[in-house]
Amino acid sequence: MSRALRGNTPTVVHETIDGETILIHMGTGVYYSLEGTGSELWSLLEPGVHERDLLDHALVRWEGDRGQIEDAINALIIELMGEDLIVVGDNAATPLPPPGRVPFAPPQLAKFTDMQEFMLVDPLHDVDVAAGWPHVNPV
Amino acid sequence: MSTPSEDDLRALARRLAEEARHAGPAVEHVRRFGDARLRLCVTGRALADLLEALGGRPTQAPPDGCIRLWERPPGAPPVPWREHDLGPRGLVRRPGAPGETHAAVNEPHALTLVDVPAREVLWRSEAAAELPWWERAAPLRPALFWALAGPGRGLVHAGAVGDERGAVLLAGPGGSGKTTVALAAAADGMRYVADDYLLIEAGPPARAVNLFTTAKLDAGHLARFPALARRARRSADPVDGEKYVLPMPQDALATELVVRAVAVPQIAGPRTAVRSISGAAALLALAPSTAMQMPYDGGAVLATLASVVRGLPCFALEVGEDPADLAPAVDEMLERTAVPV
Repeated sequence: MSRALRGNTPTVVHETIDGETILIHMGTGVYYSLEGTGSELWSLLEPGVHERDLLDHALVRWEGDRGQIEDAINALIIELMGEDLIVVGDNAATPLPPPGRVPFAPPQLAKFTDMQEFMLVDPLHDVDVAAGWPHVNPV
Repeated sequence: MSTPSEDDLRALARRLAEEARHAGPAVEHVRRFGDARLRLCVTGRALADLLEALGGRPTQAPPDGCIRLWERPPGAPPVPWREHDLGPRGLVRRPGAPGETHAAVNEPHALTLVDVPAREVLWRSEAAAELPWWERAAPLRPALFWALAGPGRGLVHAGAVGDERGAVLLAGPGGSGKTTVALAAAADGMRYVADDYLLIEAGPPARAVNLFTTAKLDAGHLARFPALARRARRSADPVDGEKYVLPMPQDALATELVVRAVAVPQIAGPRTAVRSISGAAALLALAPSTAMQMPYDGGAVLATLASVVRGLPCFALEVGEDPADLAPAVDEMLERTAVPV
């Protein structure tokens, strides 16, 4: 059965610039980047879309082996759900027809954890108060 | 007691406002930061001294926000939350549902309580004589965040330097080289807006607005910039990690500059070099560290920063070993912004 999926906003904030989508999970401090195919898929996922509609859209949008395209998109959905960037939603829109047909490039989610420490430390107990933020007390 | 409600914060705001009124005579003045005008009402000499590191220009214009500063009096009742109720950076609560207006940030040394739509900020220090060095170097950041932020305007974790042509915004996490580039440019006669935190007005054109009149130097900066280092000061008994605080010379400070480019410094090899990068790469350097270090708006600053970065040339600035190469690199970026790509 096809699920409705949507971006996990407002916990996740996102902006797309130069065809690349930047996502910040404000609950974990992890941030991400999606380029090309991934950015385009995010633009469909974020407002809400049924998985089946997403795959149908993808098969019209991208040239390539059907099985490979479906596998890559399913893998991205699993990864995005695992990172809490998308969630199962109640409502889904039908995507507009794609603007054209281009070769498929598997989407890749780049993950950055260097800011995560800022979110995970306890601001009263873990931070070196004398040294100031973001200096964390040595363990 | 669990996380306080909006009503809890409203009640606390009334109590704290009363406490501030009874704290003693307040000195008041208004400063302009970009298009924002901020009234500062300070009780006590130690807290008045704190404002020496705060930028802005005096103005007679009516304020559109206020920060009231005083010291917690002995015997003041405790706040209605516990330490484990606090979120990132001491965030107690921020407005969420319709009709909610109050936010609170509880740092170990100070409490910030805000009526957000009114831009009325109550800032109470625990002990004015014992503020940590970094609060004295760059004071009131949560209070300024709430008092100055608005649509298209916000505090940003970034530096900025430039001249009459405009500024290069310096983006990146701590240790990436923002201070090194800012000091090198200032030492070469360029104008200094910030090495770490500034106010951005998205425009267009975007403007980088000075917030603090200081730079924060580590031992490496002292060695690389001996002329500046002579004026830098540190506590007589410094704590681990305490940096030297340099009051920037008035003639080196710029109250604001139009942003012409974004640079992402990276401590690199022996030679300084400039190369173009995508706007997304610049936003990756600029936004997460800002959103994580000041998570008080749930990441709304990302949209402001994206609007700034769009349309600006963006560069990676590979910071080499010779600081004398850095000002020419900033100059090169400003020159390149003037040439159609």
